[in-house]
Amino acid sequence: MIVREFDEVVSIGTRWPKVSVVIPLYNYAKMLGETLEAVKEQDLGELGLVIVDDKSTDNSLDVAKQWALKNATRFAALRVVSNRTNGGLSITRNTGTTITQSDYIFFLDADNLIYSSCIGKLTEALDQSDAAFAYSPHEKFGVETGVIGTRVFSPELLAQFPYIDAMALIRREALIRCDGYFELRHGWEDYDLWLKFAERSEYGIQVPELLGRYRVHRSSMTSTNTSINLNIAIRAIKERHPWTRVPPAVAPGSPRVLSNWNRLTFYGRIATRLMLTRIKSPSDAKRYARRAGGALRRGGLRGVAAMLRDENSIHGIPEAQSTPLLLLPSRTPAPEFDVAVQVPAGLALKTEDAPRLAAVVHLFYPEMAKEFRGYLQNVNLPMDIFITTCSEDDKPVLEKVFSDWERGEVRVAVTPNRGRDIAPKLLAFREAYENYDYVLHLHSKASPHEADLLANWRHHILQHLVGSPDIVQSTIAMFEADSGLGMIGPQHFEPIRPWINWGGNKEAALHLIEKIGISADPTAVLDFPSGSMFWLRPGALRPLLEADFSFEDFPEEAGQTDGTLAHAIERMYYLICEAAGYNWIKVAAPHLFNGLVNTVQINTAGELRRFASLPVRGRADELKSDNSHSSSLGLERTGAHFSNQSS
Amino acid sequence: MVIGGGQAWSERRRRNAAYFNTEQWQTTWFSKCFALLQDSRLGVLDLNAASVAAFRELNIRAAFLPLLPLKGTAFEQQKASVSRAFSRRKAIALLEHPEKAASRHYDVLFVAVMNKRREKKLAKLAPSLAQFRSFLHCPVLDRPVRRGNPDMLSGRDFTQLALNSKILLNIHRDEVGYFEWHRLFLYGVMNGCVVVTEPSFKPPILAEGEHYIEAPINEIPDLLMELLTTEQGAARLQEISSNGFALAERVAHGERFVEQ
Repeated sequence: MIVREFDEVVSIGTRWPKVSVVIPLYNYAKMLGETLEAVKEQDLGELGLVIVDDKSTDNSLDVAKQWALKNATRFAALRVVSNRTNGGLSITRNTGTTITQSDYIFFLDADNLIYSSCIGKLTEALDQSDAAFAYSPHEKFGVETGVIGTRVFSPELLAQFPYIDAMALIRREALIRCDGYFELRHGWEDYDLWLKFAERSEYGIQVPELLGRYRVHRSSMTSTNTSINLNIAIRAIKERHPWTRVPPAVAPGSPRVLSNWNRLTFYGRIATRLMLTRIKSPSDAKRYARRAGGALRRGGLRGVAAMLRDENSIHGIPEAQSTPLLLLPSRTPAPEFDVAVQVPAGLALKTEDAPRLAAVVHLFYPEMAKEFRGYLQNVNLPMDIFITTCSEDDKPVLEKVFSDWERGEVRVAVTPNRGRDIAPKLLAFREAYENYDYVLHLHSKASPHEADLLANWRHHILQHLVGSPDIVQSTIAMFEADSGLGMIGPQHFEPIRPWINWGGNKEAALHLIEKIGISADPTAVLDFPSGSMFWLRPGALRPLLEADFSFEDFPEEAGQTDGTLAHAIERMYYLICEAAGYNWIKVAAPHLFNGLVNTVQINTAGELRRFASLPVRGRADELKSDNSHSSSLGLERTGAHFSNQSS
Repeated sequence: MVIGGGQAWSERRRRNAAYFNTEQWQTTWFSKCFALLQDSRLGVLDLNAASVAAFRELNIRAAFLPLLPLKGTAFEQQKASVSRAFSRRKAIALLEHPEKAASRHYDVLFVAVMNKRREKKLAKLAPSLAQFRSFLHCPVLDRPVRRGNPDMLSGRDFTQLALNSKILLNIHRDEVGYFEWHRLFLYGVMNGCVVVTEPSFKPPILAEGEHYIEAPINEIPDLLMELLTTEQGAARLQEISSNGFALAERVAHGERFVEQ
């Protein structure tokens, strides 16, 4: 255990009781008194106290010394010490651990507080269990109020994020066994300790009461943490505990948690408004429900939205707060503005002169080969298949699965494990972009970083691209009908929508923009074929193909979730398509969205050309131009219609 | 239906299905299901009678399905100790299931899924709760809880905690005063654990002051102090607790209490 040499400032008593409080102290002179009073007021009779000053530059040490001398009789043993050189939080806590000889140590930061029963109840919990430590939920106070630490100790949960604060009672023996706190430059020493306990099959027990008070203040580390610092901390934790899966931090203003997506849905807002706080009684509810029901029947959800806006104006609620259709934060394309072509589209393929089709499929996970083989069966047109994988061992497996493909040739190549699916699809079979009219990009997407939530993402994409013979036929028919159409991608899987932005990839994207010589506004609303699977006309990829990348341009695989050239390319497919002089569209099958998707039904080549040539934002604007079921373009609207009244 | 195998059902099959709704109206989950519910030819069974009334207002066929932990039914709950898995994760007192409300070990039981609103309100109550013996089970959940989730509180364990708590505290998940029937009636009232809740929609069968107590958050600290530290408060707790048991008895004997 790493500690600092220290000087003893106050030393009273030599018999250490069962429990001691260790307070690491650095520049909290103003708050220390209140914290120490909270320790003094504990119900538990016998207590030890160790205050370790870490070379504070204010008068913290003086405050500690004076208070200790005044309240010495409260404690069976008491020390105030001063590190000879600044050591940081972990080392200071470790120093305190070596000073006290108590069985249990309660770590209390000098700006936090505890309720009077705190240490007594935690002690009881440790006495009655074999846990390595006991903790409790804490009240947050200061510039932010709330509650932390309500979840139980679980390695599975801890692998995903930190949720147990350092304010806990720890068996000294267990702490020493795992070598105390590890010094992490960007924080999370406590998280690291809980992970170490989990690795040793030790555990923490929760005392399910609010026992501590965690101060949130502007100068606290937590409040000033930037996403960059957090990402450094996350990397440090992952290096020490490779089994953790903490997702990357996101910049302020971006959607914070992927699973928040469903709170942003249109229906969620409408339904919430249906039961507004104004409803004070059953008769109110009845009246409101009757009106909502009527509005629903007369005008669909748009009618309900209009009714809610009227209600809000009657009650004087400002529009900005009252609209049920607030825009999504960040540059993510909001569903209100995001219109896709319904598939199967209403265009038929003339098969006298069947186009030449190729599928370029990267199968990093060969166990998915049969699934892809099954989906490709829906392409009932001649098609050659170009498969890449990253292991020689997998090649015969893939060849076997596709051995019965009768609609064309199948080739399998082994590529370096660089650039995820992007590099193999672009580089391994260049002829696919030279000899075919239309190419299908697919890959064995697994999303291991959010396996549960994104489990259906791959199927969502495959259903849209090759979900049925009708979908495939009408997709090819759209390419044939509009020679200006360069790419057809699936509408976003809704859980992924908050991630439709540059993320940590803007820098790499700007570099790419420069390299391939296209112009693009990186501040504009961004859209891209999330998941990197789509149909394309090879000409639409020309700027990228001509850039002459090689596998060496892509970093070696290291589990990156952002920031690589591959991630940048993924975000730029539609921009590249536009730069090549082509339009792109997204397609959506309403049943895959529970009907909650903006779609248009395309029945003629003219409709398709008019729709595809509109700018992304313009597509929605045109469609909202009236309330009837046909827009000024003469397109028939289908699906649920997201209003954009708040724009 | 919106996350399980039902997603693969054909539209015809969905329309011909009867739906069992357990969701509160103001939740996203409910909103996700609503399109399906309103298209159902057979209609909806709901475990909350108040929701049934609201469905009918929207011309959706609906009926109340009272799932109660009655003796002899699949939902019966026996007095027992809490599960070992749960007690290994949380420090739990020895539960003795006393008859009298005043003898119950825990003063305040709070069970809910945590969100920002509840966090803020609970933080406001923290100084008050710190004066009593409370038991909080309020994990932050970002997806449906499945069996095996360490934060899962089973109905059986909830029952044992309710039977050993004087008060079941309720903080609404949002500004809507939805009376969380399944939690407050089934676990609170039916186990003689006195529900103290923020003001709510009036639930069927229950009377405020007789079967539960309402108070705004800022009045709850004084209310807890009165109920848990004064003789009058103890008598009031006992009376409401007994009313809960009596109601449970009436229900157990088949009294019909909601107009069908």
